Amino acid sequence: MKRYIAKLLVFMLPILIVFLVLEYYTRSYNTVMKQKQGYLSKKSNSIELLILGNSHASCGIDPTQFELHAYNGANGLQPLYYDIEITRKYLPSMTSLKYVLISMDYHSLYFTFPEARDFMYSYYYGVSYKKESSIKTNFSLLYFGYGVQNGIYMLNKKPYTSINGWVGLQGTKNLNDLAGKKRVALFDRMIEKNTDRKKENIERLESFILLLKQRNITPILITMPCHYFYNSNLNSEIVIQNRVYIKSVCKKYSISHLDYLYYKLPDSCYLNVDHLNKKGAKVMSRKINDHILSLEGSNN
Amino acid sequence: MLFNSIDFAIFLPIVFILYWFITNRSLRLQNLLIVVASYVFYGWWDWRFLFLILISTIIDYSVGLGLKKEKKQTKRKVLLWTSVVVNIGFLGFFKYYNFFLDNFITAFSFFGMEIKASSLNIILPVGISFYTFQTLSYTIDVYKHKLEPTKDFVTFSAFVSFFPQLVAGPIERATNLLPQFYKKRTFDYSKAVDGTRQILWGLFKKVVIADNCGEFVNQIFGNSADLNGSTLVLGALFFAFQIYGDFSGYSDIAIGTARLFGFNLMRNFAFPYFSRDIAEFWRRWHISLSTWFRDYLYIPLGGSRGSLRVKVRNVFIIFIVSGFWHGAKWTFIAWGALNAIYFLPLLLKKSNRKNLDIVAEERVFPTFRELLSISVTFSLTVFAWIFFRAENIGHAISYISEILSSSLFEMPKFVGMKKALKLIILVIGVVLMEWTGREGQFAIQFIETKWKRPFRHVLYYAIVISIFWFGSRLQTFIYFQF
Repeated sequence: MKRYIAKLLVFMLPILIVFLVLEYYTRSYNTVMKQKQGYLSKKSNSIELLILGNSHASCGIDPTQFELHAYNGANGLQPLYYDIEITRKYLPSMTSLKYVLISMDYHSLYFTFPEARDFMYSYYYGVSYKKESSIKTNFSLLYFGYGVQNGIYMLNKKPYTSINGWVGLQGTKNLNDLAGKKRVALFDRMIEKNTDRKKENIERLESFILLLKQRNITPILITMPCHYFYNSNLNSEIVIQNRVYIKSVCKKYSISHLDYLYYKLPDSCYLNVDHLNKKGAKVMSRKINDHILSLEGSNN
Repeated sequence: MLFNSIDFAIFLPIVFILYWFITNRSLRLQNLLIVVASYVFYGWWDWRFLFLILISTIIDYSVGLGLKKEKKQTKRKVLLWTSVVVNIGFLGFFKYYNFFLDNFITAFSFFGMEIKASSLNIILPVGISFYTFQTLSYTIDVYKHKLEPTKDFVTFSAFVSFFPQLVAGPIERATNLLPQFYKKRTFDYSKAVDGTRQILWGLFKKVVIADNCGEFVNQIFGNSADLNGSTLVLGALFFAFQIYGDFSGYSDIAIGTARLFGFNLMRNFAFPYFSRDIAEFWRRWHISLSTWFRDYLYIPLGGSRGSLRVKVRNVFIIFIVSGFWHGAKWTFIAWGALNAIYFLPLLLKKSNRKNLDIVAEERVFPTFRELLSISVTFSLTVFAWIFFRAENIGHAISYISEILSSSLFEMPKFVGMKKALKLIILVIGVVLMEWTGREGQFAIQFIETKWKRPFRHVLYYAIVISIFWFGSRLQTFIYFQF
């Protein structure tokens, strides 16, 4: 039996070594989320404007365009739950924080937890949905997190470099009705599947707004612009429901909503039907900056 | 606990070391360790359902002892029926309650009668269909004087709950497995190596073939209304390999794991897709279930003896019950009935036992006639799988209708065509490997004697790497739901 165990170990050893090397590189890989978390850990006390939300905000709001020290904490597919939990975690050290931009998009209130990305929040931010165990991810980020295939694919690519949490993407592609239809269909399926999440998300959002207000931080709801090909395919019933709710919440807590959904921008500002590129982000961020400056003026 | 999980990868070496290094001096202690390990293995999923296994174990153990003491036939029958009713009762409640309730409500509403009854939110205990049948085989065999009942509760518990085959088989006969718990097990190096090889092949079939096929199966079956006939054919083919890879993979891991502990479990799959007729397919597919139904249902019903009406009746009963065993859905019943229709002509022509040997034995290639028979049988099987996988009968019919339309001659079109092409190449590789190894117990068993060590090791490394490559996205085993 000892022979069996010894032979098995010898057989497994090369695989184990290769695996450990890959695991090391995966952990060392400077993902955007890792950079964002690093920024939060080191500079959270200097952040004055915090940007939260999904890819609409993470692509479309350039923090370097603001007069205040802004940081973009949005991530692709990031639901309200993680927006809020990450902020809660770092809030005690965010001593300069004045404004929080909360992205309110077509699907934000229905957004569920993208299970495929839970491990990233658990590994990088130490935040888990409903305190789910992160033991496995901590044990092997490559195997239980990214998966060997995706992990190796990722390692072969140069990581993006973020500035204040933001990565500006260049170019324009797939601006057509079919792309808009497909994108909206994806969100519609998500909304249909998660209608019951709306109540949960509303409660979560309102308690977050209250928390911010208690700390004299101004929450601002924001809806980022999307292209006509995207907007024209949206379910008008959901758009109206969202608007009614956002209006009521703004009234209830005396906060503002920057609704740019139908704001007209040239095609060259779009990365695709529902995301802004670097140029678009610059234009919109300056516009948002003007609004915040006006708020600053009225506060002073 | 899933075989393809890290939990099991940690659990197995711990149990293995405790078994061979700590408890190896006492048979009773080894059996006790198996019971504890098996309960941990099962409880990892949901500890509450351990009580079901325990109740089932206590009842069948007591019934076994009662049957030994009792001489009166009527009392023995009462004891037997106690076991049958309790075991089938649990199975019926957890698996079929909502099905029967829903169908009763539908049937009554058809006649204009409204029945107010609400279905229960019942969780199906993993593996209940497997261990129920295993314990029943014990009681029936003791009743029929084929087996001496055991007085040792620990041994009996180990037999019922033996973790390698607890949740998805092979459904062991007490006559085969129970006596192995009485004897002292000694570690056999060559058996352990062979077992490890079988585990490796099982994992490969599950993780690389079944799970990857499953991705396309879900996509194609989930959007079948929007896809053309040729894509749907591809979906059905992928499902054929998904279910085979999944279930035979599980069986290989179970058998291999049992061998590491010195046990020989019965073979569950014998390269079924190389069968030359449906009768042969059923001798090679899920052998432990087919033979269970043969021994405890088909033969007691009269088997293939008697009038034509009796023969037809028995064939339909066994296939429909087998379908229903898989789940409380009409699609499974239709799948069973379809297989009965396939099988019946062979039985009536008395050619159902024509192909008892291994196809193209000691030859590399099959004859044209063999190839044709294999292709026809495989096509019939794939056609039946459509019912097995479909959401409901309507879905299956619309799926088949689309296949039979002119869109069958269009090019397949779905998301991930390139990946599917790579997968098809992998599947062909597996089929060739299985063809080459069809004279063994599992596909890569032959390489021990026929391949030189460096080539063997290259293959093992390729398998391990591909398991890591594909295996990090954990998927459950299909057969757990049964």
